[in-house]
Amino acid sequence: MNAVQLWSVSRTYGRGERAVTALDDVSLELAAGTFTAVMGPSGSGKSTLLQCAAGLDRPTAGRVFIAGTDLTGLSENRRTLLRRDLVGFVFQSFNLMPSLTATQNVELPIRLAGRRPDPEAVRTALAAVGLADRAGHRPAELSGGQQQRVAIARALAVHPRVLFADEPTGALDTATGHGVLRLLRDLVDRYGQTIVMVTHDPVAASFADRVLFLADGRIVDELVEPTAATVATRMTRLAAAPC
Amino acid sequence: MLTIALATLRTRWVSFAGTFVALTGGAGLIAAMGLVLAASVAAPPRPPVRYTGDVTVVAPHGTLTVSTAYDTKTERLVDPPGLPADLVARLGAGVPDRTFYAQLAGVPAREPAGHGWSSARYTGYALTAGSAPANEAEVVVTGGARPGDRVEVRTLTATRPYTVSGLVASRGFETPVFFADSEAARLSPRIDALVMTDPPDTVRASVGDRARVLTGVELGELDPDRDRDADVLNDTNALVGIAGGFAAFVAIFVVASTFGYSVVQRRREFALLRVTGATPGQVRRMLYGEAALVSVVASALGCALGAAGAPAVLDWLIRLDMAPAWLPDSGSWIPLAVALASGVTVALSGVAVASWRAGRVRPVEALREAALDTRAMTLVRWFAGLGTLAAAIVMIGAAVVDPDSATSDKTYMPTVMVLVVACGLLAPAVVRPLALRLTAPLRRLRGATAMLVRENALTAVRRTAVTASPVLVTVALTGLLGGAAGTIDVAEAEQSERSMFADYLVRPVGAPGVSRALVDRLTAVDGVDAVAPVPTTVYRVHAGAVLVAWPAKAVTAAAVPNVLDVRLQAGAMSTPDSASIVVPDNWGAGVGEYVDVWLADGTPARLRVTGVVAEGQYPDAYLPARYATALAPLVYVKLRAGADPAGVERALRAAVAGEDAQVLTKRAWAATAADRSADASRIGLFIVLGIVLSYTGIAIVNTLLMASSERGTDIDTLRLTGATNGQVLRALVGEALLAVVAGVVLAAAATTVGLLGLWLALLRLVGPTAIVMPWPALGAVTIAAAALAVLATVLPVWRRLRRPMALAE
Repeated sequence: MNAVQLWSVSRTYGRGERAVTALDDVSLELAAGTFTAVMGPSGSGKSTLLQCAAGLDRPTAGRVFIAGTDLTGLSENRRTLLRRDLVGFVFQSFNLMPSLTATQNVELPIRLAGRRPDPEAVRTALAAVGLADRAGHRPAELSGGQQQRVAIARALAVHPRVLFADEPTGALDTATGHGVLRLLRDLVDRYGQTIVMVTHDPVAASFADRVLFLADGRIVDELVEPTAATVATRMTRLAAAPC
Repeated sequence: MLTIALATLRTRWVSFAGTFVALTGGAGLIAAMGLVLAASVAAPPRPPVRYTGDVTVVAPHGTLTVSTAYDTKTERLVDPPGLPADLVARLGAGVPDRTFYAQLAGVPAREPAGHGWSSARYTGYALTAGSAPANEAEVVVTGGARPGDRVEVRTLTATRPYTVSGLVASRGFETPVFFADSEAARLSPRIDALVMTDPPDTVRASVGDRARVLTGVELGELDPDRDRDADVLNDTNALVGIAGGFAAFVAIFVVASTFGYSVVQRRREFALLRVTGATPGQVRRMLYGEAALVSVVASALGCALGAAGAPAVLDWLIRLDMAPAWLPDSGSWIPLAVALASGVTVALSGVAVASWRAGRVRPVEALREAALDTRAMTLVRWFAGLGTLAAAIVMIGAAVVDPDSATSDKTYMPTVMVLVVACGLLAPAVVRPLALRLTAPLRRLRGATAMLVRENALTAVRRTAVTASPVLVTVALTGLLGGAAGTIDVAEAEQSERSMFADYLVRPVGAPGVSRALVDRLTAVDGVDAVAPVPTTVYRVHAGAVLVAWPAKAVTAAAVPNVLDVRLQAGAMSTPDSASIVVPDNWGAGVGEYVDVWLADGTPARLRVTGVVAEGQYPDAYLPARYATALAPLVYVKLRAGADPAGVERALRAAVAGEDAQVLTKRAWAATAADRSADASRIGLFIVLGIVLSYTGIAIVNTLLMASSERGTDIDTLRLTGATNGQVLRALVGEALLAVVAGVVLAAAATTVGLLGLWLALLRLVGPTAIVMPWPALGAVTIAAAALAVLATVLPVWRRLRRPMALAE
């Protein structure tokens, strides 16, 4: 079964003459256990694609399915509950609760879902991202890379069907960023985690199984088994294309 | 970096608005209270009330002048005699004006007064219905009857039937009964004043120095409620003084804490400035400049609001009878200057402390995701907090050592303020253990709310403490002031019950005293001794040099020593109608000797000493009842041995039936006598407290709005982590309520310490008494604070939740 499905999804911001079409009739299917990167120049609609696919934003037209569930027409609250069970997020700016320790941040989505966190499972999750010895630290006491690892552990705490990552290495230096990307790759290979990642970094995209190229709200290209070099070439071509 | 700048700007706007509101309100409060105080303190001489129009009035001096061995002494007479008959005869012209006790039976009257009808036209009365009294049996009144009605009129000596011939409109300062001139002369022969229409100089020439000749503003000296009015003005001064003190205190407290917090909130901004190259000195200078500008503008606005509001406050006090009605609004600029200066000073000193910290913000903090605020108690704060707490305890200790002063507002109020400040300073230290303890029972729950509330409170101690501060002030002031009022009332009730010898008391209702007929009936009741002392004064030259106005009671009854707390050292009480006196032992006169005194109206009298009373610091002298010139304000009734209390009580109530009086048991009397809850000054204090508390209510909302401005990112993060709107609201409301609880706990601590001190002082003063807590008021104030906190949390969060989530790009 496909983890994520988009049926001719469009998203328009604003009205009338000033309307901006961020997504224009996009359809795609992402199989379970795959790592997909979404690339494109600024303003190509890649963040909108991620937000619509993850149920954070409501498309103007079309339908979105996560793990077979149709998100169309669900209320904000219903979508929240669904996201909580099916989707995990990792952001460029980590978005950790500054008041909570690493452990508590990981526990948060479990508690929000009304379940009792299993201390052993939380420890394992932190160990899996290499932070077993930082469990009691608060975000301000962690480095950027460590914070992003906590965010990944948190996203995985509820065992989501899909993990959405929005520029996860955008705020990290190259070496730390690589660490985080290797971790994501590892999750796909070892646990069959489905991951969708938006990025503008060809090196980051090269960790994925497949790269989708977006321009002006449409999917214009696709690359399977990418390398940093092939991705960079396609990107250059996209940027050079007349608008 | 752009988002940081934008977020800083938003935070800054709210914190700017927050300090602005706190300052405006605080300065407004100080200005309004200051203006009312200025109006009351600088009250001009009261314009004449009773006499109206262009008249000249001849009145007796009303003083007693005695030549002693060394010089001449003068004392004011409490019951001045009328004008000398020969003077009245010599002047020939003029309208005799008489004032004496008279009121309609069964009609409660304030300042009852009987007059002859011919004085009515000079004292602002004109008929509104009926006609003037045509004969001895007719009266004109202000209400309670219609022309043609038969009424009973009480005077000092008797109650007689009259017919109402006409009505006049009340003028407020007295409740008059106008008799025909001849009847007035019969009831009160003396002439209290002579109203002349001749020019003052002519009158003065013929009067000489035998009496006062008054005209214009001087006529105010003859107003009947002049003393009472002065008392009211005194009360107003005290009330507004206390209220102004508290207003200033609360305003300073709230402004200082708000300003301190606004600087803490802007840490990130200061760090950014430091990154861009600002030196610590530049950051500080910027802060001072901003604070000066904001505080001048906000305080000026507050002054304008205060000046606009002051007349309304004064009006309110007047309407509630807590200030004399003629008091004009103050045009003084001093309260406004004080309000402006305090606003600016408090803001600048608030910044002085905080800016020192702000200047030390290291540039790297700008790059941090969020600064944790787990250690809000600095060494200086510990020092200041424990110092003020020690000061409060020393003040309480001093009050316990000198218990007489403990119950006075002058001692208690500053203690209250110092206690509240101490608790405010120590608040951050309490937040942590409190948050842990309160959320401990929820810890085992699987929900996220308890964890979020606990951790957010623990890592934002300053925020929690600053939110708790206005709650602390609100609840502590209610508890400390309300608790003290109730506790002192109960202690006084117990005190007066303990020192009361009589078993029952009969007191007048709507009248100045108990009628003589009723006193006679009460005395005749079987099985009791009834005594009706009438306060008066005897004047005596003490030690051959000093003229002393000595308090005395006019009373005749052998039973006096049993019923009143009178300890006869020698001799016996005076017999009726005798020219005798019972003197205090410090007069140095023995039984059988004669003493020369002057009576309340200045009449010299040589009285035989029949008894000597001892002990007590200021024992009264006792005169026979025939020297009484007023009605007894209270009748003391004591059961004789073996009498049946139930039967006696029935007989007493039967005797009182139909009279303007009621029977009270000793206990009931003590409770009502000490219950000052209906007192003007008490009500006034609570009303002004209400104004102060509405300001602290604004402060609660204000600080919470300021606090919520820094929560936007947290809210979005929670939502992205999967929190529903309800869960986000629950977590933030939980935090706000935790802060409210912290405030209430601190207030409870302050109230406990303060009232315990008062209780210890009262223990030494009157023995063990109950501490009376104003539970309904405390409950209402706490619920209101919690409701405001919830509202001020939910509204901005709700607005945020309606927006789409801000995703980091």
